[in-house]
Amino acid sequence: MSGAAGPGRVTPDAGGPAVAATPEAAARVRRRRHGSAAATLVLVVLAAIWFFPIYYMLIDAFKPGYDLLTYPPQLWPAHWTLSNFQEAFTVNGAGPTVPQPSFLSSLFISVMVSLIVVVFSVGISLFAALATARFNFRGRSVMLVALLVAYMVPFTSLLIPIFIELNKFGMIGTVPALIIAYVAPVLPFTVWTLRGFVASVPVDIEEAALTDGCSRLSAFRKVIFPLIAPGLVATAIFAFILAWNDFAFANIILGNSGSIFGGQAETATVWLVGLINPSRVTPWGELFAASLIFTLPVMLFFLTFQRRIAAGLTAGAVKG
Amino acid sequence: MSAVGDIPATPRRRRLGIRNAAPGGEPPAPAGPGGVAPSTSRARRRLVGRWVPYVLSSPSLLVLAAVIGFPLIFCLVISFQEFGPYQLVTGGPTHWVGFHNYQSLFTGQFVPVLVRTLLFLVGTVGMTLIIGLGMALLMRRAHTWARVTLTVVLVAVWAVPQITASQVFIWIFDPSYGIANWVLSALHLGSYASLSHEQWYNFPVSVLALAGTIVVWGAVPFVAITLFAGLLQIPEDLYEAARVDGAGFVSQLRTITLPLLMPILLLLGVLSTIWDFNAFNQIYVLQQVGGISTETTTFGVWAYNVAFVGGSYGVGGAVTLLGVALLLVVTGAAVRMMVRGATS
Repeated sequence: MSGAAGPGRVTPDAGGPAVAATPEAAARVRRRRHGSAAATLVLVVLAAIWFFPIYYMLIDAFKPGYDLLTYPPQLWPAHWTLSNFQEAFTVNGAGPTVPQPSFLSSLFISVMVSLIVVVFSVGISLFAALATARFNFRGRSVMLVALLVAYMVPFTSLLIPIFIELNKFGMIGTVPALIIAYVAPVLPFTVWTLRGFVASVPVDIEEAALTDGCSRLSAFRKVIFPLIAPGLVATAIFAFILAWNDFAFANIILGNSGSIFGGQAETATVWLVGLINPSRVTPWGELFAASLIFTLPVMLFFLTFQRRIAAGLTAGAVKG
Repeated sequence: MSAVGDIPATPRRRRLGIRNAAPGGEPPAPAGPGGVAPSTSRARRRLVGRWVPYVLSSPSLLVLAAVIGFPLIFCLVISFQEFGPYQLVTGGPTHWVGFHNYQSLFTGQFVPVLVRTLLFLVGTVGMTLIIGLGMALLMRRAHTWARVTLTVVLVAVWAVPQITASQVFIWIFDPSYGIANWVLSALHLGSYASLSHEQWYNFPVSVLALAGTIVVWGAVPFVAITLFAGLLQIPEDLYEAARVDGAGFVSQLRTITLPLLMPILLLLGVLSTIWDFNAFNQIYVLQQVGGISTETTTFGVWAYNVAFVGGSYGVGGAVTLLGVALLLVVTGAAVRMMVRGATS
């Protein structure tokens, strides 16, 4: 994101023909300045619209219950409270009478499952990414097509067969089953994306290292790895989020019958969905407080690594 | 980092292979850190051996075969079987029923679900690409602070989990206390009383429109950010030359922007199609609130409902495979182009 699109950049470059002095150019400058103000206005409106749901979630997490159920709704809380956050950790998914997994244990399950899936997937896919991006070998094209097909196979299509298979082994309702299931969508993504990052490292740099006496392994360790490390982090974050945000697999394969700290456990998404139940009043305050805790870490990661993540998602698919 | 700038460099990458060592004898390399005897890098590369790439790829390939390849084949098998709760619980005998599962789909829900899915797809993918492209074009012309603000907002939106987004939108469109109703009545677009639960959540059109809104809201950030990165790769000189030639905004868009963005647009279109075709979370959560599911089911939730709500895993398998086949048809041409780009 260089300054190429910046507002001050009216003429293409200083070295260009000196057209700014002519009346037409002056008119053009005016037109562009004008367009810039209009574009800015539209952009601000769009930003406000897109931000509104987040804003609404944010303020409603701090509203006491009697301020939530008002009409017209309050765009700025009349009273502020932290009790929603407190209750999010004590309220139960199905209400106070039925013992249900707590939000804390659900968060723990989500973090643990996602972390294990990411470490495993990134670990083994790094090798495959290296092989397909840096080696020319028989069967490479077939492998790439297979990887692309695996990448394109929709997440949810695998739910039924994986569920039945895991059921055969008696693993439904266990945390390892969910981890195995998540590898299916995450691994093709990590291989494909990492491959893009490895391919984007200029071959010349590696050639130079090899010429300077590095072995292939040390060339990887000292040259490629540091260069793809940011991409690796971005890939890991996105892979983490694939597992972190999933609801369908978590609901079917783990349900609320996982086990942690000696009690029942489910993932955070299943816990959150469980809070909306047509048979009772939804505790919106607690729901949004919990949603905020669930969303904020991911948001911070995204804001930190967004350029890498965006590049990685497309790099893998377009770069050869 | 963006795709546009890197496409021309593609063929070069393939030069570094064991069999494709760089031509020309390289000077003898000095001893490595480990004190290895000097040798040419060509010889070193030969030392690695042809089996290396296979060994490197094998863990991933084996795991992929186990968690994707095998399940897909298994899915094909059960789609020709009667596979219900009995078989699931007891592991009891399964009956081959030929094409019966598929037949029951074609005489049943297939056509309505297909039409609904395609309409949903056209709406969501179309809106996502149009809004994303519009934002990217505006970002190029707007003041820096506005561009940075929008980028931060988009990244924040991108990070919101679909489940959370769905729940926030359900609250925004709450029949009694939702802000959407309040805005609509403030604008006199409908009386408050008329926008009841039934009208928001029990009408297939409004449920799917709401689901589509949640999908588009969440999908625009990635598209807009990627397209803006692509726009920055287009040299400003081209636009300058076009302006000198008297080209207006529309003809600049038609002759410069769109052709040069086409590879990225194609990719985003394919990815959006795959994601929206299988939109699950948004529709599922809305169905939980609204209670109507038959009239709002798209392919993304159909297999789930048939298998896990209806208990017909064989039919669910058939739905799954039909969905994958349809997706291949819809995205086929674009995917072929991408495969060619990746393997050439």
